[in-house]
Amino acid sequence: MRVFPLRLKEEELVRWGQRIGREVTCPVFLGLEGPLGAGKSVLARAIAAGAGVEGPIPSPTFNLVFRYPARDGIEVVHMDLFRLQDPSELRDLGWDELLEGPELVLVEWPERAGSLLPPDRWEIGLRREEDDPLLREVRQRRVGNPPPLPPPPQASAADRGRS
Amino acid sequence: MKPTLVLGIETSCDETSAGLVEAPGRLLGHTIHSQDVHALYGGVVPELAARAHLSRLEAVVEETFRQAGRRPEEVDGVAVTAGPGLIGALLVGVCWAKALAFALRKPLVAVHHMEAHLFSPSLEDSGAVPPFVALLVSGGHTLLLYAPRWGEYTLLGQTRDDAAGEAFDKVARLLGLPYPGGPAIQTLAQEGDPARHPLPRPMLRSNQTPDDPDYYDFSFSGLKTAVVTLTESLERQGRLEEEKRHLAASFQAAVVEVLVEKTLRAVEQTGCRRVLLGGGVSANRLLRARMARRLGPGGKLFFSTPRLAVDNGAMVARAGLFRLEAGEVASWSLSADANLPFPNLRPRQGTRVP
Repeated sequence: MRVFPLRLKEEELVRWGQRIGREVTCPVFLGLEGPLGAGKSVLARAIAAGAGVEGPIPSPTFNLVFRYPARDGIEVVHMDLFRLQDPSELRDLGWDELLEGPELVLVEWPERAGSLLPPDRWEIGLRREEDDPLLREVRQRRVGNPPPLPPPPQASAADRGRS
Repeated sequence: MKPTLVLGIETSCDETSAGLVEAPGRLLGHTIHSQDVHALYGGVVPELAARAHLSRLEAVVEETFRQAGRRPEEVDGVAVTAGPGLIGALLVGVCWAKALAFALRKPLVAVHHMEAHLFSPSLEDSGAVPPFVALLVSGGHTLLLYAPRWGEYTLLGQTRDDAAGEAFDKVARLLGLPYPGGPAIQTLAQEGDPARHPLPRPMLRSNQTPDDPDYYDFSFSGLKTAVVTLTESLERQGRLEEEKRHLAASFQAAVVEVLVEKTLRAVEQTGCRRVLLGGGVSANRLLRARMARRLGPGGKLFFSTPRLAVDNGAMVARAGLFRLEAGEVASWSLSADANLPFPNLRPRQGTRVP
């Protein structure tokens, strides 16, 4: 069992995201947590691209939700809940119907959904390292019984140096 | 009979607005109700937005007719923003417009919000017509396109992550400034040194060629992260307060340089020295000044006064007039589409339409 948090370079984070997109079984819900600039969108874009989404994957901050067709009839749902004031507003976004089909659901600021988060999910926490802005601290938490995720790539040299 | 009088309704985000336009493009009445409640929350709140639109739309439309001295029965069509935008907010406008058009027995016209922005400057300057290179920059969009004529567009560039206005909002939040971030950063930047903090100019490299897929594209997420890093480091040194104005100036300079240089690339490649700025960020004074200077005396720059640069019903009415003249009438089953595709927007070689 890997000890968390991991320390990954951005390209390692991207490689892991692409692999998640290629391999994970759907439906699956991934909450991406972390402060502004931590890499939530970087990871979300990598996962979507890995799942076969073509073209740009713009930030959903303004529109709250974007949907993309992807591999094997999967739909990637990219949401940003930052602007939500109350979980009840999720109704407007089709939250109740999420995960009914083969969806790969990527939610930034999932904590805004409060008790409406699905019982089976992954929570991935991201932080930038204070002493090395190129490194991301990654925490992965399994809640309930979501489909497995591929393991993150080998930790970066900086991480190995510490362990 | 040729349509002459069109009502436009706009509720895609936080402005509840209506406009009345008479052919060929005369603005007769125009009302905007901005939802100040969002400033409290540092952004648009979707549920509040929809409810507020519903409670204000009737008064906004009535006021617009009152200004114009016209009656609803006189219109030749009702135009409404069908997308893109917040779905709940859009639905209010679409349902309202549909009901009004149905009751009046007049055609309903669906308008694309970003195409409508292209029509805004023409309401104040009859020369602001294609051909032009257009830079549409707002909280949700960053689009660079070429319009040889109305209704025909080539997509040149777009953002790959954050929109330009979104970057302003997020950096404003980092610096503890109010929403919307654009005006707040612009004001603070006036007292700052734009060269004090060298920030990246994402996707802007001198060795790019038009064959590169990112030649015209934008990316503001990395710039935002650079500001986050810098802010944290200054805070640890206890210098954030004194450096805020320089950070604002440096950030604004970086965004503006990327927007201007990418637009100038489009000008060089299309040979069209007419540039139109649209969307909320087009109100940025540095952007307007730099763009005008780089275009030089042989160029022409079009933009709207602030009341028509933000989201408004007047541009929707003008875009609706164009669509109605082309015989495009929406069916009664029209619905809002949060991701409505831009009409007749063709990708340039090697790019994709959003």
